[in-house]
Amino acid sequence: MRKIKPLIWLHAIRVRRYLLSILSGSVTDSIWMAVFLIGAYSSQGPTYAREVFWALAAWSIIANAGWMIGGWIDYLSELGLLEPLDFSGVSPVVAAASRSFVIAIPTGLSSLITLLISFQLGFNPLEISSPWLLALSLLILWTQATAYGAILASTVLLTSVPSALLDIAALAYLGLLLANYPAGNLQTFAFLPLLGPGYVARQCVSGNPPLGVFLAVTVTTIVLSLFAISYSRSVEKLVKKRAGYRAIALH
Amino acid sequence: MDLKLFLCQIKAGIFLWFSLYKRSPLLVSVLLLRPYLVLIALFAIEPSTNPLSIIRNVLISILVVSSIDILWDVASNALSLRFLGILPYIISAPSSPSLSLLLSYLPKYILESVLKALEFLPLLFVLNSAQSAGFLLILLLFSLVGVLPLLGLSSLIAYTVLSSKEETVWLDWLAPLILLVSGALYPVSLLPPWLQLLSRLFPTTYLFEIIQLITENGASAQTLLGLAIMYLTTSILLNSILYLLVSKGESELLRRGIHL
Repeated sequence: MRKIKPLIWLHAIRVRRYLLSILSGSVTDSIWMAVFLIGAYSSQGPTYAREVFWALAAWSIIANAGWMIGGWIDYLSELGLLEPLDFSGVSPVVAAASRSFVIAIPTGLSSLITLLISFQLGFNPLEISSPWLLALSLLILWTQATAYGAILASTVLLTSVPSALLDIAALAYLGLLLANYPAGNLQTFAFLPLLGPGYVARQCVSGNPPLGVFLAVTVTTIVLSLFAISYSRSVEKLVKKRAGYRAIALH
Repeated sequence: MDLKLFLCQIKAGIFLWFSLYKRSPLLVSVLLLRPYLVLIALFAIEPSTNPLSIIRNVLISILVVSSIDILWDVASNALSLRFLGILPYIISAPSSPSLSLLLSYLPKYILESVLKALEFLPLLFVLNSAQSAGFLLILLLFSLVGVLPLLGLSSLIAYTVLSSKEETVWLDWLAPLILLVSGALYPVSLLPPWLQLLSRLFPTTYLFEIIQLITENGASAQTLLGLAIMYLTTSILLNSILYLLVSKGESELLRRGIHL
């Protein structure tokens, strides 16, 4: 906690300092969300659009986790801050992953803007069958998204591939989450990392998912988090053994 | 600017991007994957197995990815140069900084445009063997020149971003907005009247209308020619205005200095 507290303080200060970047990110997300929401509403009506709204909110969590956590390694690398962090005993992956709480700002803002657009279109995404279970599934998704961000941050350290890779995951996630899936197989789909809580959130809009699916997403969350911790530790060890951090395309 | 200098900068750009791709082959795979993922997302919105509709979505996927890239890459490259401390060297180059930034980006744009078009070759042949060669040419042409008129706007974004004290390309919302207004994903007729009027100012609107027509098999040569003329006219007008703004922004930035 002694190390985590200054990191959270750092990110809180940075949010204030770079407020325009945060607001702009929220506007960008909400325009993309509106684009897909209008398409869903005009092609398949309000019931599907309500599901799509929450699927898009889930996508926003994943996209921001990829961008804000994984992408921050690029930033640290370009500024030459990876080594100073290491010297002060802070893992660069932990420094980036502690940015997780900032995700709530662009996700919240973009969801709010998209909610207003939904009202303008004539449907209410807040008409949900299981609101508490929906909130729980998004919370679980946020935990998985943090683990996923840490895995990507470690991969950037290992491969020197820029965070463009992260956009790929967000794009793939969007396509897969919006596509129709057989609702009867939710128990199996719930085990899928990131997609599982997204599908459960969709199911909560018009139905009441069985509690067993929450057991499945919890198991996946624990496995994913443990994998993220062990993967980032081994990557950092490997990078140190390899002769340090590499800035992209400069070595 | 003399030809020798121009060629030197293009050569430097080619070397820069080839080095990057050589060092990160995974990056190339990721770049190739993106248009396919946009295609999946388009299919998720409106599932259709009609070959012409899929070809239209292929064209739109390439242009959507290229539009995002062109508006993002120049500015994000400028930001990277600022973070790396290389920007002062770019500023002291013989040609203007804006031209240096664009010339170093152009080889990347051309290379990626060709790759984006070629990666859909197998899909085109599976869909329509009789016309696939023709569609491949259209794909290559659109991929190479389609979103070039947005270069002026990307320079302006780069200068606006450099003149602010922010850490990201905070004008990146312009990319989805332009795509929405240009009718890339939905017909312009669905937009409010004032946005429909605004859409007429963007060359990309005519580009997406051309795509719509050529994949509907009902386009007359006269209509296509009219749209092509409008595309060229708006491209020249928009870029002339943006050139003036970029020149003004550049002098202001050089006078004031760039924040780190």
